[in-house]
Amino acid sequence: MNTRPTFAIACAAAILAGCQSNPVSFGKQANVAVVDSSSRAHLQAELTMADYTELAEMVTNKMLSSRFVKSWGKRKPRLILAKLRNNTDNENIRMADIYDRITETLLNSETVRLVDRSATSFDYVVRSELSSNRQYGADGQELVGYKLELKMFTIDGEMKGQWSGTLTLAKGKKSFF
Amino acid sequence: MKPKTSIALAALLAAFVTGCNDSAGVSNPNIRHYQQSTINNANPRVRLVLGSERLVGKIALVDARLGTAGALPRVEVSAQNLTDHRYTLEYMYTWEDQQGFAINDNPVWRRFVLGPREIKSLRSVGKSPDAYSVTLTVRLPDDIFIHQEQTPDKR
Repeated sequence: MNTRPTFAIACAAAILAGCQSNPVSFGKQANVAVVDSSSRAHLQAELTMADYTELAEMVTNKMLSSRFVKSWGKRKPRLILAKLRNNTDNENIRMADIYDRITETLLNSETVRLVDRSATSFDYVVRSELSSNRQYGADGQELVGYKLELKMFTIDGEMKGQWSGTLTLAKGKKSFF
Repeated sequence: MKPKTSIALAALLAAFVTGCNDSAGVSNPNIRHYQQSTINNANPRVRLVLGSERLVGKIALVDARLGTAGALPRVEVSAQNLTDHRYTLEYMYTWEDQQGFAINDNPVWRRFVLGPREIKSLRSVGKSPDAYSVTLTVRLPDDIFIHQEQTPDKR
């Protein structure tokens, strides 16, 4: 009996079966998936919620670790966090989310007492600003740098501290296909 | 039944019963983690985790320093590249209180690059005065697009 055709069919079946072995799939129904919110995936060279979190915490932690803030000890001064200025080229950045991440970190730290912007009795004002610069390369390449800066002033206007954090996003070349 | 066959059957049965009673099986609620070459907990307050066996012997997490930032605990660990290659990596700190409960601080992965033989400090501030111990995980970058490139959708 000639066993060669049978053997060839068995090999082909094994190869085809191998091709279908449990590929990782995302949202087969509508190409939508729930992803880990701590992930740093980007569809565009723009800030995501995870980026807001990183930037806000990076700068706030620098402030909390500074010698000046450490000198407060157990005293909890009253602090106003002024409105966050958007000095980037993108008006769609949700500044409220960055502001909220800063206040959340400050409140959880139990280092300061945050008071409303309308308060008349306070010790310090923290002004903050988000700025960006952008460079374009050939074939859709893009490099975007974001900088978040906090500046702390006394009620007399004396600057007591300045802390900043940066985040850079790079977009690669557009695929030929 | 021959005596030899009886003894062999009894030994087999004993092996099965022992296997069922294995307390170090899949999960053990009374240990902090299973010891692996990717985990170092020499410092009781700092657990260092490499997110891949491929990083063992290539990336070292050393010199864990704990301090305070006002009322908050602060940690800094150095990551050392032991090779002549350039590594793009991600790290994440997760804090726990003294009882071992996670501090709910929505951590995010932070990307960093280690050049050949470079040493870089990775730092974090505990998000609450209750924060006590910390786990640092360093892994190769991972996100949805990397998965898609590895397993392209063939429809």
